Amino acid sequence: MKTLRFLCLASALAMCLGAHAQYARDKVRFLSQIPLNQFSGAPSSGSGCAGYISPSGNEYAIMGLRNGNAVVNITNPTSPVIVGHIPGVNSQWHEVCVLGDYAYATTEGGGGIQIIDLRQADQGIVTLAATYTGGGVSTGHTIQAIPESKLIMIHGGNMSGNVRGVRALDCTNPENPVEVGTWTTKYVHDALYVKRTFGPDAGKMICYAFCANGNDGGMYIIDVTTTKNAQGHNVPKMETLGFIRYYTGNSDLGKFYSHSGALSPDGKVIFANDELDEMNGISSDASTHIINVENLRAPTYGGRFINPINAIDHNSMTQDGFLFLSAYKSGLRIYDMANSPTLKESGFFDSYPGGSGFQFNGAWGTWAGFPSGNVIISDIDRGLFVVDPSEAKGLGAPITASQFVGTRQPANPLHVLRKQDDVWVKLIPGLSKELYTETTFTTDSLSKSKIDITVVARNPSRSSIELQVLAKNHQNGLFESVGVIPLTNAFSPITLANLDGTKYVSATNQVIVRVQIKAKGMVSSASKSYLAELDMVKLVAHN
Amino acid sequence: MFNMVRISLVVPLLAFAIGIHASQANSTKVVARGGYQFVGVEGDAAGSISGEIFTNPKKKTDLMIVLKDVGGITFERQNEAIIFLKSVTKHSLKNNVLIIAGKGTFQGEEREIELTLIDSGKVKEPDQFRVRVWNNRRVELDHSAKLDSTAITISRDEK
Repeated sequence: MKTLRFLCLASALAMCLGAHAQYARDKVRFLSQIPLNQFSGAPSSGSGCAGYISPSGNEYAIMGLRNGNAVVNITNPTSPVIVGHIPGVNSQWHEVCVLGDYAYATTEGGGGIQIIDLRQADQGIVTLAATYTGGGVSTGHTIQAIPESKLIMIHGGNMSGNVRGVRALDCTNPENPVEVGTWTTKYVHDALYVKRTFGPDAGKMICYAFCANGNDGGMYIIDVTTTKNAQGHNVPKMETLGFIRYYTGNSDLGKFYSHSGALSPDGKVIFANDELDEMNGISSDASTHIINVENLRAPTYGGRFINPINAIDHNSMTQDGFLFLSAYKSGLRIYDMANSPTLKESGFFDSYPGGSGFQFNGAWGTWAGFPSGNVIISDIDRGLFVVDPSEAKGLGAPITASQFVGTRQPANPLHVLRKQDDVWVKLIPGLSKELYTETTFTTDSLSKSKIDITVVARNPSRSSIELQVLAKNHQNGLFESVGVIPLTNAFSPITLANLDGTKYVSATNQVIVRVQIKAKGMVSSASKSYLAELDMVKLVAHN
Repeated sequence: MFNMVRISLVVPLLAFAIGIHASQANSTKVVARGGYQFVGVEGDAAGSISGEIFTNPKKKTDLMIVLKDVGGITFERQNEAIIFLKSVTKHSLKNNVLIIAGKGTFQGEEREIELTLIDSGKVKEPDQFRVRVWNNRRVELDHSAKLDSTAITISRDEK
């Protein structure tokens, strides 16, 4: 019986490990995956994705599938739950965006814009509230929301005259959109909408439209600031401000394809994804085109950032100073934008382990706007992934286990020491037994020959107190002191840098850190004069 | 005696013939990488071909053709078309023209793919390809394109 139980446990462990061991990653932690065959109807491919945060704070992924769209509760990111599936026409192209408590879905397959009611998602109910076909709307290639003006923008959809530019719908009444404008200068593949924060156009809502190729292809800049019309609808201006065709020479016209992009945190640079330049030999590796948009009427080309990953860049978004890029066969790539326009890859999760190359497999989309910091990847071949990019964002390795020995167990033990906030643990010195806080980190960093441990704590008492930091030496199984930290009465981070990762990082990438008060002589554990408050313990692995 | 001679001649010849066939069957490699513009149903459209074809079935063929902004030319009247060639079942190479019949996908659905590739070998002459997608003896897509002269390279696969 024990043998059977052991075998079951071993098998379960192997399955858990095996589920994500196949995915190459750096500083991005695998949390969960829902393969395509677990969605209703076992669709053969996935496409775009978006995120929804319910009023209660629950987090949902909405993923485009060949047979419609699925809504997945990822509040518990390691145990995602499919809440519902809204069937749609058979198409490889399903894209979705969220406005308020509704999702709006479009597809190349036609049939109109599906309006999905998410208001009861926390109760496990999502419904198709309506399908918008006003004005003959049938197809769309991509769709975006402008929350400030309650607009939904459809790109590349059917239009009279076959221009397939931008169509704006006012969704003030979420289930009854009203068409309020079009932009028909050029086919639009995708677009980005950001309110301008500086310069003469400050306050305007700006559309950066990515308009394929050809003589009139490239990126257009459009003013979509709204005014109210007589019926009270928000009407976008739809005035073209600027244009840039970042590729040159007639021989290149068919080799580029202005696809999509994201804006730098300072609003001055567009990082444009061109979908065909890699596969057409313009670039040997994934290239992101840099366009300076400080002057909206005269954008300038700033060259390319090339990441040597042998894949096509597809869709991207900016969040917390990082660029999250879904790069097809190279999965999710995360770039630090601190020195924009210079990008630096800070981590990745390769959702397509089948090799690299300039083909349309792997990561189609990504969404990084969840309060938890978790990120979703919608993969064409492997479904939905939920990952934690903490290490890639410089927040340190995730805490995967914790113990509070001799101290009161906090309500949310895995998170209480995760970040510097107003929740901390009280540490008191031990008299007859050891009292400490033990934190287990699991790093997904490829570089881990050295580790830095940062502790944020304070001493609210009048006594002189130090904290002793110990790390488990995995070579001999013993905890050993790696440093002593003197405390003041204010929370301030102190880092023990460049510790030997070969000793302290286990074969399973765990680092176990204990923090305890270094008692000076025999003191009473009840003594209020010996008290430390521990707010954060952070681990960074590197070389 | 005659029979022995005949057998002794036929066997090596047969072996030689099989060897030639195998050698030919395993000998061709195509590298394709190029984009082009063309007029689609609704105006300018973009096309691109990328990947590798090996006539040796032991090697992985993986070639993609993408057509964008075509204005509903696909069987389900969509605006983009993605064709993958994943394996080669038959092929014929004559001079600089390679004809491939194989299996792959069109819009993600499994299909039979027929591909004709022309490697001009001359700087001033374009390379060309024609792709036909078959579904139960019905052609769902028939598309031809001219590319830069360096876009398609047909060569002997040495390994």
